[in-house]
Amino acid sequence: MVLGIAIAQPAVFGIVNGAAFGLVAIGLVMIYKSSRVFNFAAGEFATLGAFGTYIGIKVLGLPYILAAILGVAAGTAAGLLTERLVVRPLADRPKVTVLVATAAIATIAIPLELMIGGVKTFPARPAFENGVSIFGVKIISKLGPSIFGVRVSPQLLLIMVSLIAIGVLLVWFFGRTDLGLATLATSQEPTAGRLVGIRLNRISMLTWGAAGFLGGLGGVLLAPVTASFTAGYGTTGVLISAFTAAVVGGMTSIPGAFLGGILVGLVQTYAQFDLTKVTGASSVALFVMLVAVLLIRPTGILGTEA
Amino acid sequence: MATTAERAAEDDATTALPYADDGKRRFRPTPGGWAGRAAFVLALALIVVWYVTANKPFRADELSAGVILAIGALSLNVLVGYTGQISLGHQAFIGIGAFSAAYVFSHNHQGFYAGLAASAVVGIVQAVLLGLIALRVRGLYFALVTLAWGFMAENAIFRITSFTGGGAGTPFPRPSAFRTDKTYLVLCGIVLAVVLLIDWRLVATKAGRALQALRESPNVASSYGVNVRGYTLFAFGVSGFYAGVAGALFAARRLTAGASDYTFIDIALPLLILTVVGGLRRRGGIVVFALLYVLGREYLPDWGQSISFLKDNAIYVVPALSGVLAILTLIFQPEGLGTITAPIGRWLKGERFELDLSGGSGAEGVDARP
Amino acid sequence: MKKPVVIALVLAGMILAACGQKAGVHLASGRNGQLVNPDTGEVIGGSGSAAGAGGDLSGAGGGAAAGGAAGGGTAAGGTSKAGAAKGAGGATGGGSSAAGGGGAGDTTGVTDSEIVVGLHAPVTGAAPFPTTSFQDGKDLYFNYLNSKGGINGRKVRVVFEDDGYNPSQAVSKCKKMVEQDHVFMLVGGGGTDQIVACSQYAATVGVPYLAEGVSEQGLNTLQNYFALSMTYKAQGSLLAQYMKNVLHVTKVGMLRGNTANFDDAHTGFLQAAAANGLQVVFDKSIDKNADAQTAFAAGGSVCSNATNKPEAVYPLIAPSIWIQIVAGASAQACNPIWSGVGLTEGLNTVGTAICGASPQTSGRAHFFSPFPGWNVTDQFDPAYRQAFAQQHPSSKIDDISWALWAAEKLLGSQLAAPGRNLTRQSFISAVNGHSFQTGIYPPVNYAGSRFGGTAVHVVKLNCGDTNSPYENEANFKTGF
Repeated sequence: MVLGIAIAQPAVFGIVNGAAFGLVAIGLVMIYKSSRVFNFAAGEFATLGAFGTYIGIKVLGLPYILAAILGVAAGTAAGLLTERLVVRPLADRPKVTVLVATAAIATIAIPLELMIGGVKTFPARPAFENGVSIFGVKIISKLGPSIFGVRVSPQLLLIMVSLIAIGVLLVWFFGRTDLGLATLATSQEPTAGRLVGIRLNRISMLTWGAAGFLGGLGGVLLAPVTASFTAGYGTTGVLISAFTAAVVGGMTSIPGAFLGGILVGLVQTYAQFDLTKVTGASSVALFVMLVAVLLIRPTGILGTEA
Repeated sequence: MATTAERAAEDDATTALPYADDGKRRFRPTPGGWAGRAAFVLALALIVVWYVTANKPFRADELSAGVILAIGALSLNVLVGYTGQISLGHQAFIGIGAFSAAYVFSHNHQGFYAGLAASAVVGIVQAVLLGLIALRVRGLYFALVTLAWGFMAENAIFRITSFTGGGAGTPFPRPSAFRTDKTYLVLCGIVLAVVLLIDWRLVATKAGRALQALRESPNVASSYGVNVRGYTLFAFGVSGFYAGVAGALFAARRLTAGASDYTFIDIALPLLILTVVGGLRRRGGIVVFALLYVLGREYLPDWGQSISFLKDNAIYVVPALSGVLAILTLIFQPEGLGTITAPIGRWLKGERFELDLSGGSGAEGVDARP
Repeated sequence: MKKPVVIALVLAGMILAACGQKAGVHLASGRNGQLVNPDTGEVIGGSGSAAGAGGDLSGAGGGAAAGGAAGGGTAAGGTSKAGAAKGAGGATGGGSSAAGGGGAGDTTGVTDSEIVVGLHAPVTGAAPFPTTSFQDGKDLYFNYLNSKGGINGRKVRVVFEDDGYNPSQAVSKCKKMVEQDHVFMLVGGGGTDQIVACSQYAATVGVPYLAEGVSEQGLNTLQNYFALSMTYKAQGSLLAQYMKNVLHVTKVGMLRGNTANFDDAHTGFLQAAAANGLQVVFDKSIDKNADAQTAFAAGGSVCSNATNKPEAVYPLIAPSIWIQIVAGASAQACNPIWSGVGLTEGLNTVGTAICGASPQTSGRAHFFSPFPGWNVTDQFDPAYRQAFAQQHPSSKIDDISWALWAAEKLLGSQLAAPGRNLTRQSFISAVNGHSFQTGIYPPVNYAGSRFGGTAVHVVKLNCGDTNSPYENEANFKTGF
């Protein structure tokens, strides 16, 4: 059954983009939960992820999977560095100071990216360019299966699979592991956490490293969807969408970040779809969504506090 | 004279409160002291004149850019420093001013000054609209709203072809009296002086005190009868006024208002850095740092002649360095670099020269309400 | 650091301003090339009324009082505040052009031995061009010509600036070239918005401006402007014929950037399509600087109407965005023939990127071009490759230098036309109403129009040819 392409295509793209936003949004929520800080460097974690993959493929000649790992590692490293050099020294300052400091990180990262890479657009090779074959049997073609009349490429499928896998991983981590429980505990009650012997520094490192990992992963996965990216695209393209996703879903809820991501992705893509009407309609839609949620239901859909 | 200095010291929120327990409360400089201060000012003026005449070209165009950037940063300073709200979307404030001015010129066939007026009005209106949202949404969340607002302006509003000309932009030339680069710098300087004057009076008056109370604790302020909503909107309006005017000047400097000039990366981030590094509520620091920023961008290629890396990449190195400087400032000197210029300012006013780097204005760093 | 210092600075600035003030009325160009008084916004000159006898804005034709509003004289003479007394003769007073920007023989940029030409092009921002290509190509032809004696005993020197595919940056650079480098004339290498913006600026300071043909509105009233090749609108009618009679398609589409400067190209194509019996089934515009996602989505929407898919699509947008559009379309198994006007989609850097991202486009992309395909340059001018090898033996040659060579050869013939007595006015007179032919660019004829293009070349994408993906298909076509 072929739904009208006008409905199906934005739906597919919206869900997939939204999934990538969701990944980044989870990183934002984790940081907010643990230290009540808005991380404006998250966008650049994503760009660095894409950049790292590009360098892996172009400069080092690695295959996609290894280059992707390099990209994610770059994002994670950025997260850890940010924590050590910027967040920890400002630990007892007002939260807005940290926000501005993370924005300053974007100010540093973007010109550096421009300097190293130039002003151009970078090609980002998608995963599984020739489809996926197991033992010589092609199970997914290059263009991907056709869902409701819309081609879903292997790259898009990869994003969905990653998101589900991460989701499962996080639920297990926060629910079942000691470290995860400790992180949740300190986000609720840092003093109590310290009393019980939880090392706050390690939690902080973990949280920011995870945010870097997720941001980098989001960038690595998202860039090849459009087969290219530019310097700073994480901040100009992904950051506000991810934040809106986090706010919509509830800044303190990780499942909310998933949900919010999908919603934001859908709204943005549908708003964008009729291109002759309004240029930049997706930015308008984002703004309206954000203000609406903050005015009407500030806790978000699944969140528990404003 | 001492009385004037004293009153000025009390009214100006950026200077230290008078030392209550200091026996020498009224410091009065000697005539020699005043002569020294006058000589300092004269020397400074002479250095400026020398720089300007000895350097060909003396980068009047770049200095104009610095002055315009300073006005923009002062606009952000009103928001962050006086209301405690952060704006990460200032490219919207400035761009809307620029396009309004250009629109009025090109479509309504009005002159430059009408365009300037239009930019001020539209700037005020759009800032107040945003301010209405700020009444309900606070702190970090409001920062997000401004971020989204900035991108909406950048991606949607500035691309409306009938308003902005789309990719082509809209022409907005300089007025004939201030057409060359040097005279345009004078115009920008005049506007900056006006803005500084307004800002200075703003702080020194009852409105300024209300704003200060507002920033520190809106609940306490309202219990004292301060009209929180009114003053918040007023502050937004002032911020929008400065930004709109900066936008008009920005466009006329380039002779065109084009959408690709008003972006997050090119305007919102640098303004944030300038305000932070210059120091909140430290107008002098902000102006000085804005000028240094653009001059650095201009001169770095010359100074770094031997280092080809610097020469080719100065346009990237300066913003990156400014980001590093911002982080260092936030960590080590949250009051910003204005703490270095403030003592000079106080000295010129007739106080004793004391290098008091702790700022002492009562609020530290970026202290917007969480 | 408060008022005293600020006042001191302002005073110092004013002292300098007094020294630096230049006399003369400043004219500004509003929309559509009208002359506007910048203080009051009043329209002084309109279509065609701004020219004096010499057809040049620097007030040649008897410098009417209110500054250059000669001829049609629609100005309420001397309305501008600053200019009334100073108007006569010093008409436009733009920049710091030496001869006061007016008078009968403006020789700025021309000395006994040298002519200075200012060239701007989108090295960055429009497409992934290598910077070195522009560095090597910007004066390739003129260096060659200089070695043969130059033009009427003068050598040509080129000043080159990157306009960043941004119109206000283009105006900044053009202003710098006029005021600081004192160029004789300005040339635009590509990029519609930048060309329109700079040409309007050039009009206000009386500097001749030439560029490849782009839009017509806004430029048809500028007396100092000439197009070196066919405009988009004119090419559009040829394109419709080409689609019908060579590509044999009936359903077509157009995807363009949302700038007002593309409007006449758009309406022109729609009219031409109707006149040739083509059905326009897809017609959209996206942002001129659209990000990758938007472009990709736009491409994906090309074939969204399953019963009415376009067989050929005309892209009128920056190459880097077009590359994304093609990728987006092919991701949805949508592969129309991409066919459009010159100039930038048909460059080899772009072709290489398309072949890399969407190789199935090979053989399915055809573009008009003002110069022949790069694989046959020797048939048209063997001196080109020889000159490049001689001037840049260690550089890699590409078609950007060919594009610049071809354009400069035409410019050279135009600069030679007035003879030894070269002024801005004599240059405009020598070009206006005359025709020029170089054997590379199609002949240009300015009799009755400043849009002189008469024909086009056609190039076709062949991904198999990695040296020159765009190969020559047809030459000097005035119809199909």
